[in-house]
Amino acid sequence: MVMVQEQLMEPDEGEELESTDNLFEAGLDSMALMQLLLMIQDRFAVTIPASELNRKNISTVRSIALMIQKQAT
Amino acid sequence: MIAGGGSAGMAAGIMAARQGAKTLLLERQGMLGGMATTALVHSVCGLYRMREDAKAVYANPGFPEEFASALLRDRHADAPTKMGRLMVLPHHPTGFAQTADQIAQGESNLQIWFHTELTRVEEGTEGVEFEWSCRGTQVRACARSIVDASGDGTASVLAAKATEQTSGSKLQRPAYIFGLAGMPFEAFAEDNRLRVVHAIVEGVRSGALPKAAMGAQFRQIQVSQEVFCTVDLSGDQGDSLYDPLHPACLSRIDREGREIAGRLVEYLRTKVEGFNKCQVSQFPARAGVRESRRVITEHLLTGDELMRAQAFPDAIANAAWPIELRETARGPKWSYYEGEEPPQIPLGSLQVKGSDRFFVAGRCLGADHRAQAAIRVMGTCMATGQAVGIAAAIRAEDKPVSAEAIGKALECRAEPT
Repeated sequence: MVMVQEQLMEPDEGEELESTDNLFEAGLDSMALMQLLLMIQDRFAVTIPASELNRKNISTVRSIALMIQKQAT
Repeated sequence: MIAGGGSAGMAAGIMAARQGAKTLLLERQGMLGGMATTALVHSVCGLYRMREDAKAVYANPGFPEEFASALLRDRHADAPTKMGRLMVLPHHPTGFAQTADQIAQGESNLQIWFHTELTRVEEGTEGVEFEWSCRGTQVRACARSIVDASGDGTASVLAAKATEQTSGSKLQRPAYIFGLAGMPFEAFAEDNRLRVVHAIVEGVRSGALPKAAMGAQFRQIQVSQEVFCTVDLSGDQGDSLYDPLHPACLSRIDREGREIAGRLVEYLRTKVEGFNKCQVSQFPARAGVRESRRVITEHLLTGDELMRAQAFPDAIANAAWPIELRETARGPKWSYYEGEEPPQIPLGSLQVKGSDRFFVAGRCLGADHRAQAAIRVMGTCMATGQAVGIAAAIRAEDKPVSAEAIGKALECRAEPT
């Protein structure tokens, strides 16, 4: 959650990101997305295949967590 | 005399000419538009008010609205597009130059000389003497008032006016933008775009792509069916910090931008479906410099003033874009102003300190580093440009310059007559 918040570069100062907020609407641009993808793969030692990287899987913190879990198991 | 024909200088020149002033605009490139044409920046920011809904409401009346409407009319821009809370006008850089030519050519009082560089500026009691150069020919001339819309405070520095500059470690980073051709338009549809993102991250992880390729952003302009890619560069090299006023650094970032573009395209050709015939279609004439010198003016506009949307008695424009700091090449840091009313820009921050005939507009006006990160965008540059164009014309007639006089002139002169 903190990682995603950091990558979103405080789109709204003082506002907290919820796990079900739509990240694209919150300002997830390609820089933030690339850095997030890099960090996820490094931090959780998982490889996210291209086929898994779709809008549905990365639209919320919750869906990202599910995607990571799926790759780790 | 207007130094520079970017968004600010173009607006200043046209509005000064409409006031009846015999106006000379000097531009070092071969077209108007500055960043919007020669650096291939392909969306106009700061044109619209920040709103929750998707309605495009102009932040500044007059030239910004007139120019944006002309871009849309000429089919040189897509419909205004919402990006989070912000609204931008995606445009076609070539079309921007055409629309600018068309509007400028209608002004009989406006003389535009492309391919000219200012080489000397000296303010006297009666006016401003200056010299410009074109391919080794020097010409001396005189103006009753002057607008520095050079983006780099060039005219101000030549006239020995005070300027300041943020240190190279904190300066806003430059953007390198290039055109791409040879891909089907659907290569950037929803999930396909994510495949590009995935491939670039893999390329950086494996070392096949330089780190600077991270964040490469692709945007399609619908009206021209063109694709542009933007890469933010750090501008540093070893111990040598980014310095957008030094030819060594400017040359380096242009070369680096071209190299990244070449490597990125070569990589994407083999890794992403639909990119196998991808090519770089155009390089910019120069990298997109976001910040360099800032001119010292009667009022220094601060980031804090913008954040609290301070009202000024001598307000001449609205600064509708939030503070967008790009002190690193790792993406922007945004700060949004409070309330619904956009922050104002006072006339004092466009009046060069200690002079009543020397004005400044665009990204080098009198602002601190944070405020500059908001006022540097093209929509706002057009708004500050039109205000100083009118101010310089009023001053050329030896009449008193005030925000009220500018406002009154704007009401009469907003549309071409």
